[in-house]
Amino acid sequence: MYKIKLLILSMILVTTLHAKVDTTTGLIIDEGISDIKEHCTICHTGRFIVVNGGKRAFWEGKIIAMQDGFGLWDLTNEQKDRILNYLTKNYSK
Amino acid sequence: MKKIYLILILLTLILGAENSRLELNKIIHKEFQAESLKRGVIALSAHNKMLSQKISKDVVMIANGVDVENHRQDLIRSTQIFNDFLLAMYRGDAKRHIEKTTDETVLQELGQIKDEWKKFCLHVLKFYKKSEMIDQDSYLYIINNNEKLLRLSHKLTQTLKSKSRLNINFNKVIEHTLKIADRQKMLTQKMFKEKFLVYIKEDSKRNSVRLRGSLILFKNGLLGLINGDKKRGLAKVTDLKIQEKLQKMWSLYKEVEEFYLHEGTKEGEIERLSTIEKELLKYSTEIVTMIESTLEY
Repeated sequence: MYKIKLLILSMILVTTLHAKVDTTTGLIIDEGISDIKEHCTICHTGRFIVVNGGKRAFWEGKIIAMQDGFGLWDLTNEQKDRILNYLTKNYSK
Repeated sequence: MKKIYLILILLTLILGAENSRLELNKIIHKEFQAESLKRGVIALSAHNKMLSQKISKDVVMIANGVDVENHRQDLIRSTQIFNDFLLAMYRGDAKRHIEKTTDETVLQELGQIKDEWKKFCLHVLKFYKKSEMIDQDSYLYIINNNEKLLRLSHKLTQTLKSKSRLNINFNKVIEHTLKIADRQKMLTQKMFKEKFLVYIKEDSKRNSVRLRGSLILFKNGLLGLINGDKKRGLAKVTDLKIQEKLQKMWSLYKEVEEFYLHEGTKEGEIERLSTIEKELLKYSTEIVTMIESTLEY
């Protein structure tokens, strides 16, 4: 009986702790996802973010590459911060 | 939602009750019908993404005296459609099966579009009337802010998709194909607008980078739809009629690719690009409609 209770408790914990994922982009729902949807997944899929990953400097480099090579528009400092915070928190390998 | 369906189906099978099975069928039928209507709203929202680019392209053409009357007519039509969709989302539209929006996130994102549209539209209206004088402030506002309208419309489209309750896996492949096809439709307008701005030397550096990005997306997207592209999660389109239209788009694009890429474009090349852009938009719109119909229940 104790084992069953433990199993149920573990299952509940896993379900609760598992981050919620946006069904359209496949990205973790967290603060900043709105900016990601507005500025990033307009050109590429969320998978591009999921398979990549790195520290803040890595993502900062990606943003510059998108702006220099692919015509990503200028971002305000606040937008850039929110995007970088989101990516670093959720996709830093 | 898929899980709920599975549980319901399993329960019905376990109970083996015929009446319950019929009831379940009714519920599922109703849910699928509701989904179909939601897809219609998503399609209209995606269409507005393209319209944000078409409207700005038409303004650029009018301001530069190119085929003014036709572009003006197109501009009036596109502006009306864009506006009608926003109104329908706020008030509901029984004719078009659009329910009044109540979801908070959707309302918030609609509000962002409405705020930008109110400013944008006032500038667009300046190009409705025949006039020798071009309102330079309005012209600059439109070429500098149309992308904001595009990305806000894109965000809303994604949110509407996420809010759509049914997310059955077998539809996801088609939905991704539809997303790319929709993007192609928008890009036909965006890349021509950018090429024209480079041609008239309007903020050449910025527009050249934008154009390069648009061309990469357009070419990769088109090839992905034609051949499939594992890296981008795209399956090859196997429907023969759609594939035929994609091939036509590819031939048209190949004909003018060089015009898009090289600098020092001649007037005749721009005229050809203008003709091809209309055909590309026509084909991509047809393709989107055809893919949408494969999703219908």
